[in-house]
Amino acid sequence: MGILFMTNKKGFFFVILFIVFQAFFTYKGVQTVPFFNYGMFSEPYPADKVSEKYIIKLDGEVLDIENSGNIFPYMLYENLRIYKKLVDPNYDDVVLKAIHRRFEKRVSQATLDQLVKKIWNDEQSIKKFPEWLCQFIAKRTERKFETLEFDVEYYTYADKKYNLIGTESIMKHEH
Amino acid sequence: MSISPINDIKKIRYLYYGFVLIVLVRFYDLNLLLHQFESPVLNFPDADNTFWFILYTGIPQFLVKNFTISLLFDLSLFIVPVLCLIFNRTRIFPVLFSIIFFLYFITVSNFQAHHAHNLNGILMLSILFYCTPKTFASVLYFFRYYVLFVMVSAALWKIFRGSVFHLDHMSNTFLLQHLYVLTDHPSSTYSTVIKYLMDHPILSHLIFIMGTLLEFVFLIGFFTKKYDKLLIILFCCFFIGDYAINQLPFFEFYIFLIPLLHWKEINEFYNANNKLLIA
Repeated sequence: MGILFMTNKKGFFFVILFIVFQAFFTYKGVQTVPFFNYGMFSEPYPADKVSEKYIIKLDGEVLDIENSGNIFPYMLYENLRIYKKLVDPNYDDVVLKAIHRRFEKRVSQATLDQLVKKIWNDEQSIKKFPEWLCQFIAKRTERKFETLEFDVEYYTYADKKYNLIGTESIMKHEH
Repeated sequence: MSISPINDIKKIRYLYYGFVLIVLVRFYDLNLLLHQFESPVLNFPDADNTFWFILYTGIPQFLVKNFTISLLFDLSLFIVPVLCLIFNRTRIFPVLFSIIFFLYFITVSNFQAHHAHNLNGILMLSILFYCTPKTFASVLYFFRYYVLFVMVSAALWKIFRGSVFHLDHMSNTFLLQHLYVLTDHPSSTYSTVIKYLMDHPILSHLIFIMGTLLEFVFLIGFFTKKYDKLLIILFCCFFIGDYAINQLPFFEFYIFLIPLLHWKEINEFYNANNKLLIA
């Protein structure tokens, strides 16, 4: 930093300004750019947490997502996770809340609606998801099917083993 | 005799764009290119202002809307790095690569519904190739500090958020991380090893503490470059270990070894220039 100050004062002040802003946003819990938060695995993970396993059934047959060849499993799981949250009427939508909190008093209602439509998921895009999922799986696995089911299995871990404590049907779609 | 960093810059350029092409082939194999997403419909910008802004422009949505557009965009991801290598005197292609890779980074993170950090290195180091030889060294050293920041801040997050003080943290993390493999293939060798670690939380926690310490060791790099070779080894050990234990393939992150490597010409050029400026 000493050399930077002596050789490039503008650069030095830019770095200082950046550190101050980044410290402020980290303190506020706001991510401003996606390159400076490396906090993964830093929050203590509770022991009693229920783990969710996503199951896709094609015409009643379970799809082996991990070995289905042309799908990146993590991408599919994450999309299913988001969809499951979005269709849950009790879901506390933190992103939607954040959009409202940051813009509600700064822009008109029409602009706010436009913002939500563009950066988050409106009802229309949520409704499109089952058909996209069918097309995505059909194309990526080169399989033909008529119905697709998305179920969730809930597990806890006790006595040194996973215990299935329940299942839930999230979606059944005719392709 | 004047010192020139040109040869080192050339080596870095080949190393960087060569690595980028390998990563892109890997992403094609993993089905993570945009044309392989089949026009996804759900956004996941999280509470990140950069994602919000880019999504507001409508560019990511446009890039995945139509198969032909996605395919052309994916092809440009491969073609532009090759152009950067062929036409190495012009800055336009490196600038273009930064722009398209940034758009890819935002789009893929948004539609895979997960903001992974693994592409940060490629995106950030792309800046190097539109620097003049004089600023190249400064920017390269800036990224050396960024790599140190990445590692040390990861350790600090674990300390300040408290996971290092929770004996069950690592074994509990395994519950989430390995649910599929442990329920689908419970008798595989990998499942047996992970199961053993889950059932021995002290051992799991020791591994976690070792990982955190390993990250924290990078603090030394802020004060001296003397141990950079050791840091390179530790960097590789950390991410190989992370892959073995958590199945997190941070392959793309190895691009960050470039700033940690010793570049003799660049070093001499930088020192000579700064002596002149300070004097």
